[in-house]
Amino acid sequence: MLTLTIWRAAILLEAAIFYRGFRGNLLSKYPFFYTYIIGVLVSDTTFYVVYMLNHAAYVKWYWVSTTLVVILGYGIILEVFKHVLSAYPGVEKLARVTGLALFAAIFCFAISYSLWAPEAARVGTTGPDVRKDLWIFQATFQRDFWTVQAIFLFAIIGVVSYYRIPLGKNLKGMIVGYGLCLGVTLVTLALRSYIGLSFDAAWVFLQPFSFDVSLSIWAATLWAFHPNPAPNPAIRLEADYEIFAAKTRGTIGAMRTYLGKAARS
Amino acid sequence: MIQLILFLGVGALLLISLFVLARRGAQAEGGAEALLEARRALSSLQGELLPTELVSRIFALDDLDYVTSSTSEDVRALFLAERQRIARSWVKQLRRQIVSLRNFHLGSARLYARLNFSTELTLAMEFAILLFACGALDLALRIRGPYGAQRIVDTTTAAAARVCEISEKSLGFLRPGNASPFGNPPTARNSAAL
Repeated sequence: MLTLTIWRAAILLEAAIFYRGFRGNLLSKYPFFYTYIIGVLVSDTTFYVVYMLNHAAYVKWYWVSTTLVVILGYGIILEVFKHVLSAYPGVEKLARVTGLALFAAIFCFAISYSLWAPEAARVGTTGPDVRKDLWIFQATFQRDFWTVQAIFLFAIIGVVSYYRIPLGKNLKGMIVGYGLCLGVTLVTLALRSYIGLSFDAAWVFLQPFSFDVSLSIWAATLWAFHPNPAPNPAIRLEADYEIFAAKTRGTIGAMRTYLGKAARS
Repeated sequence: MIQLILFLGVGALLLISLFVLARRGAQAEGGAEALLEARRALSSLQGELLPTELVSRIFALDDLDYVTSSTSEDVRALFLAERQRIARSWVKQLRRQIVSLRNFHLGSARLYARLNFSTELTLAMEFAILLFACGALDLALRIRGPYGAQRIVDTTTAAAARVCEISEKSLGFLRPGNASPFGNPPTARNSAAL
């Protein structure tokens, strides 16, 4: 009953976000994000009806829909890249490099670990009948997709926080909402695949509830259009970055020398 | 098990970073106002909080000699505790100034199209080392006291003046008539690159 209530609330919230986006002309401003919202709205509404009428069909097709929604989620990452970092090409490149480096590091580690200890790598994520168990394959596939998104979102948040890039209400809400949903999903999926069916009681509540919280954040922050603050062109510096960085490094060196002298004396 | 830790780690890191992002106040939003604020903070430090004469007075041995010769041991202990508190407060101000410089660098660097990953990583580490040095200096003052060594007073006084001077240069471009940081004139190549 509680799960159904959470589900109905999600449909209502998705419809509200879409309605406000349509009324506030946000759909054309954030097309990838609203494609995702339309995707989850259609998926949730359709599968709610299917769940009520034919439970077997729901179990059979639910994961296909979820996988499509996971792929649509990349649109939110693209939206954030496009709106937050497009005004800062250097930082955008940095976020891309950081995200790719993190992804490559984790991917290489996972591959080497699987090669080094194939049995150990399977423990907790797959069972002996993995090839026959489609559900486990789908869950692992989705978890991996979400992990890549989480890594890129983490890299974006990292550079945005480090360089103190100003964020508008819409984009901040988009990041926080999707990040929360991703983080909770990853943690609960990892725990579920390790603990097993005994974790299901918590999982069926936690995962959809976190999505409802994300939807509430989106409904509140995307109620109206709040543009992302553009960098002030007056403050744009004309000097070359390398000279600028070298000067800062020189300043740090000088400060360190004086502090070193002070500490040694 | 390793995979569980890996996925849990990624999820937890993301949630922590979201918490930090959500808590970020309006002050951290950056922009021209933040840089001007940094400039104002440095001016305040230079003009009111860290002039060489004031720092010399705080660490002056004359005061200790007078208190030692004229008052009881209790008063001397109280005096030393007070001076230690002031000295540590000075280090705190120095730390703030370094953070101001870092904020200035980040606020400006983000506008460059040719931002270099390794350079930025090196700078981040250097700032971290400098802030660590401040922490170490604070620890030294706490352990050895403000009069633990005479030289520390002289050098920290010189460092205060020098740091102010350096920061003054680093924020010099915000003065009317200065278009580039650190007094570097813009060139056609640099302008084209941006």
